[in-house]
Amino acid sequence: MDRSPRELRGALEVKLKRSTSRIRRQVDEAEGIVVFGSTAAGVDGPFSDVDVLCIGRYTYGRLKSEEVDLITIPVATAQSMSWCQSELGTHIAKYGVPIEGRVSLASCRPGAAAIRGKRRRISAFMRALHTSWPQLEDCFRVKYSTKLRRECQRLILMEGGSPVPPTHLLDCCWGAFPESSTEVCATLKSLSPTGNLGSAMDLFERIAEYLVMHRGVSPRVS
Amino acid sequence: MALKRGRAIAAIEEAIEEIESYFEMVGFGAEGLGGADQIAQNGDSDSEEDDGSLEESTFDREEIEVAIDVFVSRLAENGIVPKPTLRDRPSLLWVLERFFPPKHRILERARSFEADIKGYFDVVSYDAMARASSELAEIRDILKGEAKANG
Repeated sequence: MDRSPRELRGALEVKLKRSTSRIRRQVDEAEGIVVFGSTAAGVDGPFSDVDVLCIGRYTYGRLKSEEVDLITIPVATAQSMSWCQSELGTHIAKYGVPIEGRVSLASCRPGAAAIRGKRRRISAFMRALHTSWPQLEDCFRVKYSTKLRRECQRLILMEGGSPVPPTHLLDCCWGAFPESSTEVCATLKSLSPTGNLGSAMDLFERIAEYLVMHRGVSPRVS
Repeated sequence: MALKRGRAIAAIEEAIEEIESYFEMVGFGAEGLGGADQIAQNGDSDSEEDDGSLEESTFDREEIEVAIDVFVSRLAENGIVPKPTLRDRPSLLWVLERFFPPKHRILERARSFEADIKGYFDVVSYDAMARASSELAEIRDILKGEAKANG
């Protein structure tokens, strides 16, 4: 399903035409361009945006439109250890497709800071959901159980030294391997708030119930 | 009709406390610490370690998102807005757009609020949180005025 640099350049040009002039200008000024995410993996839909990394004389920044999600980084950052070991840096080095300029991104294992950040994100969700879960409408419960499942999958991979794959692949694995749910549940349990063990277990069981109910079903969750 | 709208707006004004209480919890209430407690709570500077810049207080986007979803859920439960689906991308703006004309200043405030809490890779800066907190207070004031005007 992977696309050639030529195909990706074409896909990006189409999206850029419909994008803002600011985004077009930033892409024009790039010394190196890498397309990643669903477009690079060939699993994008007609309304998907194109994820693009531009390396050049920029400051670190992000510009987002409906067509293009653009990240700009300076050349020095692209070569720094903190970028190469970050969640995004490791993902792009493994799954991104360079389409323009000389781009050499070192392939690294996700670093300790990236893993800590991921754990913190899951904990933040669990902390917030701890009291709110019973009040949430069903669609939000589906949204958070899906988000938490994906984040746990990412954390498991990162802790094992692998870059996170495109979300589509995470969703495919979830439906395919029964053992993945055991691992995800164990991770979720380990990151549940510990203040009140009884209600933490209750929350964990409710989320696990949603994970099982929506096994193999992946709602569109941003 | 005006009475019905007035009741709905009063219900929104009440439900907005679900979002406000999160802001208060992290120190952005009327007598808040301005996030000083959050500095101690987060106490990390993952991305700033290398360049030696000053540590800045940051906030998790996830917690704000959950507070907003509780707000929408409460309104749906009370029949003020329809049961949301994920396709609707329910938000504070999504709720307010149902009761105010497109150019109303409350929608402008809500758009700014949502831009501020969007954060950068799920981390919201202190300044953005401070702006979002004032915008929320303004939204609450407008709702209060509208509820009164609609009886």
